[in-house]
Amino acid sequence: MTDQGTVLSYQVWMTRAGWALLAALVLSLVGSVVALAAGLVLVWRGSKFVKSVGTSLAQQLQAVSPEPARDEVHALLVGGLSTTLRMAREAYEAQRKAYTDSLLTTAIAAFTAWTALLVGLFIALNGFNLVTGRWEVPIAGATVTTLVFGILFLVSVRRRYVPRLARYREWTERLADSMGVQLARAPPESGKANTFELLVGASEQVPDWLDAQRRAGLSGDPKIAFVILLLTLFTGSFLMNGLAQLLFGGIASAGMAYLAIGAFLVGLTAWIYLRWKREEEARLNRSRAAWDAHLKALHARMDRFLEEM
Amino acid sequence: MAGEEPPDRPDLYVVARLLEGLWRAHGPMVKTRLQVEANVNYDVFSRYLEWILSRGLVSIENAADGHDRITLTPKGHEAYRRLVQWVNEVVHQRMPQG
Repeated sequence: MTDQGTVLSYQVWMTRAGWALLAALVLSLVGSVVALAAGLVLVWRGSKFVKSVGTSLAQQLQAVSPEPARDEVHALLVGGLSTTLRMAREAYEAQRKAYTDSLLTTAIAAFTAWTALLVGLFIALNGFNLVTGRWEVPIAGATVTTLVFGILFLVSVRRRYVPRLARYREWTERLADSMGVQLARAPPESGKANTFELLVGASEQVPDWLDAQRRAGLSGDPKIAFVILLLTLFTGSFLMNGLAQLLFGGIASAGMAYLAIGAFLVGLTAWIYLRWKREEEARLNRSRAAWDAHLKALHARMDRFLEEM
Repeated sequence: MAGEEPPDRPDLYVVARLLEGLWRAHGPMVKTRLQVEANVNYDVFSRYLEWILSRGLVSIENAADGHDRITLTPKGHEAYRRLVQWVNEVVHQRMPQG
């Protein structure tokens, strides 16, 4: 929705990210034939669906949205609501994704910790005697410890994210409701804030919404997250190979080379992450400072307006 | 409404609620309906109505049925447009001008 009306935009063919994934499938060679064929079928079906639905939706929109009478105030209100609604939604989505990622990370960490505890307890109680060693106590100990710490961690993650998510969702709903009222040109429900008040309130929330994206970290930037994930996988692979070569009688020079490449990749990953984090912080701080200045100017302008009256 | 003291320093939100109610009505509005839409009690409504009347933002028509009707004047429309425009400029990351 824009202050000019409803804009429907869609693409009937693959995006750049889609092409990149397809190229990665071709280059990866292993198992790529089936995945490539399945991917192309999905692209063809998706394109067909978007073509048919997009065209009919565009026709329907043209039919139900005749050119409205020009009203600058209405256009300004709709434009303001649409922008703040997008920002509130982005903040909500960034935090929701960060919440899901935290839950997933907790699950992976819990599984890793459980495995380490199990092996550690088994070795501590039985030594390296895999044949006759008893597993009952290590299994019970690892499971109970992991469950206790896992639940405590999940509760803290929930307490961190859920209230914030509820707040962003509430703002999204309020703005969407008001947008609906404006677009339908219906009278607002009695007792609810009017659109002007809602917009001023929403503009005061914007620094918090920007902060939500900053706090979401890598979850809010899938491209960098993907690069870092790939680098982490490569790093892990090189380090494991290096250690395997050195510890299990492989070629020592190859092991050292693997470890050196692994160490370089650790440095590269850390450098990419820290640079991204620094730039992101700077960008959001600039944005926040600009918003604060704009809000200050708005309140000063409105105070002057009342005095001039 | 006679005898009601206009507020010294009016609350901008109440002023905006009254102006928005009238702007939305696209025509004259009965006082009680405007009061309900502004969500304020009668005393507050009367004081603010006095204030916006004295500033020429609205005008009152005495109808034959005995109900006073309030209409947004061009000055009131322009005042509301400016308020909305400033907020709109801020949400679009521009400094409020004008």
